Amino acid sequence: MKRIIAISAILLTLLVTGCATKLEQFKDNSTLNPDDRKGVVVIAYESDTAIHSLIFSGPAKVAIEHTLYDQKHNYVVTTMPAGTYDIIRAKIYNRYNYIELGSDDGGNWKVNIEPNKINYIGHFNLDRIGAGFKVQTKNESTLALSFLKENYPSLMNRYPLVYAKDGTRDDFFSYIKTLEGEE
Amino acid sequence: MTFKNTLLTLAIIVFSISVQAKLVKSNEIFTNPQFNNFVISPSGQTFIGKSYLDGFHQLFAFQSTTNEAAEIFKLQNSGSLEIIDYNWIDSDTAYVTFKGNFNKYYTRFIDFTFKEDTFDIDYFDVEAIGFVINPMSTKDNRALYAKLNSDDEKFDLLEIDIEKLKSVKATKKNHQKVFDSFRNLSDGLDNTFEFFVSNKDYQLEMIGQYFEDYNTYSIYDLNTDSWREFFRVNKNTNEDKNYSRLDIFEPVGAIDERFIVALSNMGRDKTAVIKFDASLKKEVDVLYESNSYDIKSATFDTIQNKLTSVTYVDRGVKKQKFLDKPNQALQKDLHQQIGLDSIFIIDSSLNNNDLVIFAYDSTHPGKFYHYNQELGKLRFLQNEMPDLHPYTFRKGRLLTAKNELDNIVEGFLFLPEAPNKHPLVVMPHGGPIGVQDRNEFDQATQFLVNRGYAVLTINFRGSAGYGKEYMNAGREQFGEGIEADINLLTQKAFAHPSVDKNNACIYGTSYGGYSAVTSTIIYPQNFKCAITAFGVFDLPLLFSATNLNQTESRKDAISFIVGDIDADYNKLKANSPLYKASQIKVPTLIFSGLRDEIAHPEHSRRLNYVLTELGNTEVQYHEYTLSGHGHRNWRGDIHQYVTIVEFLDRHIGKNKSYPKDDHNVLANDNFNVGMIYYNGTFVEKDTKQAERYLKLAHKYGDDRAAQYLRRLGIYNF
Repeated sequence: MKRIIAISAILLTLLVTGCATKLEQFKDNSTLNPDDRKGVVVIAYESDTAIHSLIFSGPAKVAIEHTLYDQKHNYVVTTMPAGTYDIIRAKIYNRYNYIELGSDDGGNWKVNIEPNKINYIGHFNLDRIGAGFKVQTKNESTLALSFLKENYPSLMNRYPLVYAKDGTRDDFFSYIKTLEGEE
Repeated sequence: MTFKNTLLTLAIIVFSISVQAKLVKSNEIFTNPQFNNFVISPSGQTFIGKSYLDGFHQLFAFQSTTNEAAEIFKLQNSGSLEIIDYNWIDSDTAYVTFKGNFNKYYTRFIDFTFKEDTFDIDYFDVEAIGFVINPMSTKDNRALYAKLNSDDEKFDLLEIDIEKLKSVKATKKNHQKVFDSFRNLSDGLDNTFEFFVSNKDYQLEMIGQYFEDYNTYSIYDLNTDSWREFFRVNKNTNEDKNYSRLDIFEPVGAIDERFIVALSNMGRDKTAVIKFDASLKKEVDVLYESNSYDIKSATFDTIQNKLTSVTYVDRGVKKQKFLDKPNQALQKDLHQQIGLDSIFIIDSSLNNNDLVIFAYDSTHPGKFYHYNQELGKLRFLQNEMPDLHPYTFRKGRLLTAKNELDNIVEGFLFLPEAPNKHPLVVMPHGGPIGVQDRNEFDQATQFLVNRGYAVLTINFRGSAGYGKEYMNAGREQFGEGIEADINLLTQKAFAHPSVDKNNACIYGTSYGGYSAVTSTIIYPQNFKCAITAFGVFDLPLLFSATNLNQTESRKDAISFIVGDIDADYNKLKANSPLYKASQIKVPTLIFSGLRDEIAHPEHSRRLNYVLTELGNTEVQYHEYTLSGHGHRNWRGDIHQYVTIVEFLDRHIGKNKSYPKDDHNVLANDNFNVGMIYYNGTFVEKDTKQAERYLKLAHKYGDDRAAQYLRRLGIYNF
């Protein structure tokens, strides 16, 4: 009996650690608790194939599921604990089919989520090419900026917007902020 | 399977009436060539031509004694269907390699049976990805065929017997069995991608191989009965590189088992034709070089063992220079008879008596001729773009200036026919490294000239054709030396009496788009407007536009042209017009392609966003939904260039008026653009723009516009 309990405990542990935390939509009037050290995360999807979820590995293992899509737009606005994550998997069609990603697998899939900021990760782009897929995150900051200004004006007033993709620095958002300050 | 051909009349008419310059319709110039190649059979008796007519890619054949051609192959212009290659195998057998439905590749073998002036054909298809490398013209029904071996990721070079392939029931499996029975000349060789075959005995004498970290060339050594590698290019950027991105080494042919002929600029500035010792792995002689220009290609006669011709671009004109006196005399004679700047022998019969000639220059997209050497008779076959025949086009004038590096910078000034002063459009090319503008027929240039604008193109530092040092001088010169060269020649153009220096605009694509916007900041006195298509405006964004650009190989490739992003971030940002947008004071027209993976549309969106926010000047922005780094459909070009002319007319061509005779052309152009907005296929559907252009079309007399305006619910036109 003890043996059975031990095995069950191991299985339970595996299930708990193997599952990614599901995230929730973040509304325009929602606020962050500064002590939680969470960041607002913005990602958009451009795909000719149904995306079930994106799996992030970092301070926590999180899944951004298709249920989080804004019904009118192709954006997800949610929150995640701050830290550096790697996008390790894109699940397509359903939870069982996936494309392996990750920074060890070619391309830089790291994102740096800063606390108490709006972190635009990019436009997750998945294109079917022949029997395979071309997968990338595109930097379409202008579209994200316009979307947020129109749909999350309150949020934009309360938190600074930053480009969260790891790699070459992008000063566009701070440049826009400077221009707006000059007006 | 045999079928009788219906004879079609090939319009072989030599027009001789010179027509006064008149407006060309945008859809007549922005379209595919209707005829784009001819090949002649080894006997010199029969031609095969390729055409694009009525939405079909076709091959047609005709005998040298007749004016009547018969269609022998046809593919609809839809999806990815395309003719990849075609030629003769012997005097009564031809082949065509094509991509058919469901992305499957086929080679069709076509047998001809000749009857006086007509012929029948019989054909069969083989499903395989492969290409005829050598038609083995002296052997009936035989050819050397490079067939993809997908299991081993290489090409096999097979000596195929067409009769054997024909003899089995046509299934992929049956054909594969027959392929397996053929002699494989590349048996045992891995990763083969390039084959060099001797025309003497059809033996494989050189190969190119593609490996993950390097490419190699090897030669067959008869003495040791083995392949000897003589050239290797390391591709892995983390290891020592033996090869710069500007280096060229391209084997042309083997002289014997020790020496080869190659095009190379290794250890020299200008690309030359060299003799290379494959044993010592070094250049031993220069067979042909120019002091001023790179050699672009060379032909080496493996039977006579001699270099027969070279090609290079001399002051913007591509030339084939023959190295033997009889061919030089022939070429001189052809020049006199044809009268165009560039004349090429593109095919010949086995005895070299019958030649296919292609001639073109900046005033003409191209003409095909048949020349019989024995009779000394030149026969016109077809214009590449027959619909353009009624129009006259303009030749560029060479402009040169010396820059601060002591380089001679070449440019070409195209002036409209009318004698008055013309507003100027400066058109820097893309790249900026390794691209060359020529004094040749260019649809965009000639369209703008046809609409009354002088056009200046410039081979600024970094351009190809002038040696490695000149190309290298353009690296990391975004917003610096390149724009200085452009300014240098702009001033030269301004000094021309036919150029109105007070009315100039700068327009470019890709790097040219960057340069257009940047030049208005650095040289604000030069330009009244800027136009950019598929441009880049935020240099760090070149690296951050996609996570795929963060791999070392991509970063390395971009840095080679732009500069090191890690070391020079601030410099790159400082040379980005986006971050200096407050200094952009001229009206700016921006085009981008939503599928552009080179200059991501984010560049253009950012510029549009910032210029709109600043509100200092007029900004007009257009996104093409189906275009990448350029248009895949001519409708995109039609929209782009009609929009450009409209923009230019407003800003630098204010006093321009079009005679009444040309109103039908304006009606046609406006109708085309109106329908692009109406249908919303290439740009986002926009009924207001559709209404505006359709009303203009109607005003100029296009009755078709009325019905679409009514469909939009508009009756007051």
